[in-house]
Amino acid sequence: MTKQHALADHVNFRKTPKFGSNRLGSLHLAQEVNVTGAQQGDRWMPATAAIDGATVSGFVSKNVLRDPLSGPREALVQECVKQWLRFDRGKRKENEQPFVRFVGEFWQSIGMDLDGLDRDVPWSAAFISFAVRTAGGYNGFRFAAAHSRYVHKAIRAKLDNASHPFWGLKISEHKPELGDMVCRWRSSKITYAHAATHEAFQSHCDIVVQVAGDHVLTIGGNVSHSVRHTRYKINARGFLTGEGNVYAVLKNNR
Amino acid sequence: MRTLVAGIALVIVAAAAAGYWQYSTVRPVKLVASEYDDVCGTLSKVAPQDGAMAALHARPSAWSRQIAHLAAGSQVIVCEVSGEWSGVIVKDEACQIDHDAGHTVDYSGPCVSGWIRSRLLGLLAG
Repeated sequence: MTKQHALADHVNFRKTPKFGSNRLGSLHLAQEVNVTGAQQGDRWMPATAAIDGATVSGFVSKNVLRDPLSGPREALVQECVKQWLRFDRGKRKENEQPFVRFVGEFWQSIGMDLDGLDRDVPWSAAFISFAVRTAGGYNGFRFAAAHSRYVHKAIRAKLDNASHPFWGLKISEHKPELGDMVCRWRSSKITYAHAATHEAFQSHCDIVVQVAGDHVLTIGGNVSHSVRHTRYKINARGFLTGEGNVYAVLKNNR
Repeated sequence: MRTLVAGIALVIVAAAAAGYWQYSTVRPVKLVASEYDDVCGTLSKVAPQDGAMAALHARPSAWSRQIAHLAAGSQVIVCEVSGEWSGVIVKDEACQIDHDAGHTVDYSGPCVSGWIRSRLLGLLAG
């Protein structure tokens, strides 16, 4: 039995190894499946997966499966997806119950006495800290209420060649992978060089959960008042284009 | 000679008018909606280097009217940046910021809003 994960959201899980009206259900993004035997036909892998709370046997195309990542990296992706699903794939808002309470949980992860009711306190960095802390295995990460704090530390670690769970790199230096972070400036343009010498500036980061042909898909907090996807374009060589005010990518070293 | 005097007078009047305009007009703080960012996504505190009060201006200009003086430690919500200035709303419990407008609008209260030099702010969250 081999563990695999869904590469995309709404992956079809089928009763028989062929296309057609044989769907047992669908797998969510990054969902775990257990491949139970050899490939059948041109793509079909026999597998078991949790569908509507029950473990079901069926078939899934190998083209929409990926290998597991390293422990901490996989845990980080899984935690982001879990929160995204908890916010109904980004459709539920921060000011609705019980989602207000979930935002309060994010704040508590960095020791802030906030309950999520105050919408004027931005919680996107608290979400990142919550996800990284919950995933585990990221000792040394700078948990903070502001993105720029951990971005600065990650860039310094890279420039000093120091051990750190994330290294901050220029977007031309690293192709984003699952579990990395994409960082963009807000309001006022920030460069990589500025972020290397300052730790207080307006920024936002999201965590990469899918790498496609021309973009990466990320999950972040306080994105349209929810936990939600953002798409960032990548070029033909796999590097971020910089569109969307992106100035750095944090490489996951775990 | 008469032309020179008239020219000087014109310059003085124009300067006075510009000064008056700078002083009297208000540049509202905007709640800027974008494809990527939620409005007013940064919380900062007022941190003047000498620990004194920091002036909140009506426009992003030192020549504009001072609306208020903010004590060190006051919390402000940063909504936009213009050069060396930040457009802020002085945080209170009920500032009624329309986070869901989906388009850029002027903030009209009830909290005090205006412009402060960005270097006088310390980042708290966002």
